Amino acid sequence: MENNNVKVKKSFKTQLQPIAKGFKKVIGFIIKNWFFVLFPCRLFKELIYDKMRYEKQKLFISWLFLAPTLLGFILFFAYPLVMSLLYSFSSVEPNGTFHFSEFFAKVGTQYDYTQVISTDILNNYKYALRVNADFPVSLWNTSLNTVIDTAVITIFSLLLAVMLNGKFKGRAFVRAIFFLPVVFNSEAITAALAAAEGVDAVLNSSGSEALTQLFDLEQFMQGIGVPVQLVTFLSGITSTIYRTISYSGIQILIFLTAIQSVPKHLYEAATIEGATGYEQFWKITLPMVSPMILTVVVYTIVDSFLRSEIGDVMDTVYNNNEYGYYAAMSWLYILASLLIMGIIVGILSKVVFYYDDKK
Amino acid sequence: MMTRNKKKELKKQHVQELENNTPIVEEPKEDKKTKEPTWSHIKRLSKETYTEIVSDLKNPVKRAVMRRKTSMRLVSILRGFIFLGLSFVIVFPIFQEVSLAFRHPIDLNNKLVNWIPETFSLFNFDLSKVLLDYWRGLWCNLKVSTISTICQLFATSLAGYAFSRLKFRGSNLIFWLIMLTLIVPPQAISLARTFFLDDFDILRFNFFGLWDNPGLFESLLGHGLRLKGEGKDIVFYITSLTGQGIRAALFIYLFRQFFRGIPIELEESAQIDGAGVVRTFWSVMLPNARGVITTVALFAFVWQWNDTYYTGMYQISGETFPMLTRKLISMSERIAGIISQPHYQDFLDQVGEGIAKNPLFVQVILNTAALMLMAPLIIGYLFVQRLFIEGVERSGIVG
Repeated sequence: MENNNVKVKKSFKTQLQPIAKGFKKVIGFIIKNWFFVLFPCRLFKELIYDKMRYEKQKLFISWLFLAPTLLGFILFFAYPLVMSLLYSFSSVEPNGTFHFSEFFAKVGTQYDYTQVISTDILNNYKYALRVNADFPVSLWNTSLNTVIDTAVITIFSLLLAVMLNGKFKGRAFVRAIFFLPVVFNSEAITAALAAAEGVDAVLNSSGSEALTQLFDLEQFMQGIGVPVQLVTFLSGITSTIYRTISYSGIQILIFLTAIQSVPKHLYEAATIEGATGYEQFWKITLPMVSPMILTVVVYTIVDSFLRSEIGDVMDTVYNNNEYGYYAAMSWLYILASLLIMGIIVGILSKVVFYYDDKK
Repeated sequence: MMTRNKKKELKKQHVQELENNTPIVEEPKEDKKTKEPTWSHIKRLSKETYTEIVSDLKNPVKRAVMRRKTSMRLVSILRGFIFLGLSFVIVFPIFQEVSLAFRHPIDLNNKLVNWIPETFSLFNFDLSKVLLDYWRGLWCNLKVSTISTICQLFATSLAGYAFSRLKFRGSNLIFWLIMLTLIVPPQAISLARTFFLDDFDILRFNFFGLWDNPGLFESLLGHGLRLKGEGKDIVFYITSLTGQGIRAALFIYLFRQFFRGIPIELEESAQIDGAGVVRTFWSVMLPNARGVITTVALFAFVWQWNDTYYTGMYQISGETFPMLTRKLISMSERIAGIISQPHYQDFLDQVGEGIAKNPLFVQVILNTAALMLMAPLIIGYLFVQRLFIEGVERSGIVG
């Protein structure tokens, strides 16, 4: 143990050194050149900024506040997005140079960049949809799962938010538990556990298998005569309840805050008129929260696309250095998610109710 | 409310009367007939309550009140059951992981051991500590998560305030453009972004050979900056500082919604008192935003901590800069190699040579490692939790 501690201290120091050095450099630069650094700022403030009208000051500060985000948007989002659109129409070498609308012959595992086979601009897209066996299937599955997931998670999180909003004993405790999966839910853990087989083996060895056999609800329901598809749908939902909970943390949060911002006088009026809690939910809570449903739906679609199997298919292509195909696939992926989003949001936006309280 | 209070008062009076009455009735008959008077008393009481209930049932107002009360009680019972069940679903795997982690590998195939391990040991922790390179990895993770959280807070709060309160023509358009970063999946831009970061430069154009500009850093230093690769955690800070961190758009959205909800009179009064724009933001708006700041900080920290995608994409993790999540992912392949080292000979003699091929053993070690990865987060959450939930309650994130 002692040895370990010594190692830790050393590594702490070695980690700290570059930070400290950089800090010292920056501070030193400012101390040496404070005049040249601060003087123009001071000059600008006194000569130009202070003489502006308040509205103009606001405009200036607004652009100043937005500057880092806009810079990042252009550098790390807009530029890569445009580039990946270009990549999707071209063949890309592993070092990043690309040949627009020129596709080369493959010799062994390497491409021969002198032999042009095809100049078809849609070559990558055709590969992704026709040649690659996994991609179309997984795209379709992902889209389907996304629609189901979105519906389930949205409804589930709305109901939970309504329930969590009520006053009851131990509310703080229950809330603390319900947001725990947000902290817990880690891609790393799922990936690590997926790498090793036998989650079931652990469960079975601890004897829960007997329990599931004893009480097989699925067979029972089929025996009663409930349609098979309904049973599989329901059992699918119940078996993924942990998944559903762990992915609906943010959604519950958004709904909870939305419900809390509904004006209280509406509920008071409804209670005086004799409306029950059930009626209040349908007539007040749901319409008032409906703009947030839109937000939650968009967020859930994005989130469930991110976690889907399609990422794995694309990763294998990426690891084979087939960057052109990868770019084409990612654009198909964007289009699919935007399409689903467009349809759902288009339907929902007709029902959404905007309550304008601000005068 | 009034009726309920009145009823309570009436009941209290009634009880008091009874209490005042009973001792006078009971005291003289202390010696022999102890049962009969109490029996008659109960009889009388029950009859009274019976008639009360019947009269209540005949009264429509009281009936409605009772119906509401019972329905509320039923709802609360149902709610209790649902919460209990769901909390169980959430907490159960954690308990299971903890129980598995403290179990010595001897116990693995022991059918008798279900929850409490028979041979209690920290062997799993020791092994996963070595496999994860835990203390160094922890330090790296903490450093990356903390600094990038601060950077995210800085960029997103400024942007959120600008979008909500410092509006100009076209600022809504910019806002929705930035929301696009949330909708477009990171896979789509990751490729071009990695190429870009591999040879980072500003103002470099090559538009089909027509307009060729070498770029700022290339003309100054002679080469572009390499911002990708082992130990280059600065890339996280740069992207966070420029509002392109992990789901930064969501945070901008949350801040915007919050600042929209703050009454405009507050800003106006600050302006009349002589505060400038920056001053208003710093000393009026930010202190009110404690709840949102906590929420955003928590999410930013946790997502950065759990992130595997970006750390994998930028290839930051390595021997000199171990990140826990990447180590965890590659762990299952390395177990056999570590276990065959002479240091673990005693253990192998005790358990048997084939232990590394046992999927259960691999599973347990991975579980333990996952628990160790999560442990700082759980401890942190316990501290922040109250502030976080309080923040959710007060912030009214939705404007």
